[in-house]
Amino acid sequence: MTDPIPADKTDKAQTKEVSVWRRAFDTSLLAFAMLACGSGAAVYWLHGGETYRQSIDDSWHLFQFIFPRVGAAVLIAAFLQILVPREIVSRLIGEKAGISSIFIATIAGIFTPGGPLTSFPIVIALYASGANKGALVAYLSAWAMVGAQRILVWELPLMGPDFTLIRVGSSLILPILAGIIALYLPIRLKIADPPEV
Amino acid sequence: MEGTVSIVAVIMWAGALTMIGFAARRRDDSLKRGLRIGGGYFVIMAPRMFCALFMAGFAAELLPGELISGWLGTESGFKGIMIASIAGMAVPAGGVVAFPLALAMYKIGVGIPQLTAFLTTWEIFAIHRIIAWELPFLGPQFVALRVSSSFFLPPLAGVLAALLMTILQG
Repeated sequence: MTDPIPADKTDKAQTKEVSVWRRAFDTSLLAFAMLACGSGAAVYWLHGGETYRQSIDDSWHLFQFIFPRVGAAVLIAAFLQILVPREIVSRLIGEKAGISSIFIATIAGIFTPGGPLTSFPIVIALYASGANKGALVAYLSAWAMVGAQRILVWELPLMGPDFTLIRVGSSLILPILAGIIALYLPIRLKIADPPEV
Repeated sequence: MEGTVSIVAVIMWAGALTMIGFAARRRDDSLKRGLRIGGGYFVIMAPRMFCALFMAGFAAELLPGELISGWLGTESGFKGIMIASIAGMAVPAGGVVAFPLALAMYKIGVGIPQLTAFLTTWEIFAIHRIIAWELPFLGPQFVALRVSSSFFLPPLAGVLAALLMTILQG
């Protein structure tokens, strides 16, 4: 299981609701629930009922507290996909060269929603449209390190604004750095064409 | 804390509603599609988030708190950042596991710079992603290029986070 977000192309997300429900309640969720129950049982066994109840109480309050924010986060993630089509992203990066492409790629990476299912096809598309290797590395690094969707959906609700501000603030420059270094490293890329289905 | 957090919620909802407004003005199926995709995300996210929070709560009780906060607490400094940078490689899973774990670590007193280094390593070197996606789709040269241009970023992120904390708090 990679990211929890179904990183699909928008057309795929329009399939029947049944498939969303099936994807939501699949074995990975079951495993996850069992892990939660198992760790709960371990807490009860090792630390007693008092600590167990306290822990459940705390988590439940936190859940009630962040739940409304998750609603806003999923809407932002969804409409980001609709309002910023991926063709625009790959055209913008493909056309630029050198350092400026690394900046654009970093911004594009930040605003690429979804998991690897979205971002990796974009890297292949960028490569095909002539993007340099620095931009490719910057794009993927930005998506992985400071991707807006993961920050909104996971980091901000769970870790709170103080932590998020410091972590994101200290990481914003890193994709650019990685991209510039990658631009000058003597490694030649060989990326295969995407397999047609 | 409560105050700042609810401001965040208001900003997020304002952002979401603004985007919904833009989509609605297009007068095509953008609005409907967005709501359906958002609903799909929500259905997938909510139960996982629910489990994640309880797991994080329990994990905070189970992890050897004093040992970890001794190694990775704010006081642990650069050594702690280095340890955290390496420890981040041991999380072979997506955000659904990494963030609850980070929350548990945060609860037991791991410092923000150390946690930043930890999360950065996980983000860059998520081994499951390299094996499942990067190697097959982008090839070993790409992995080599990315790893060799990024391997030093986690400690750097930790140091920058420590600097940022000093600036913001002082």
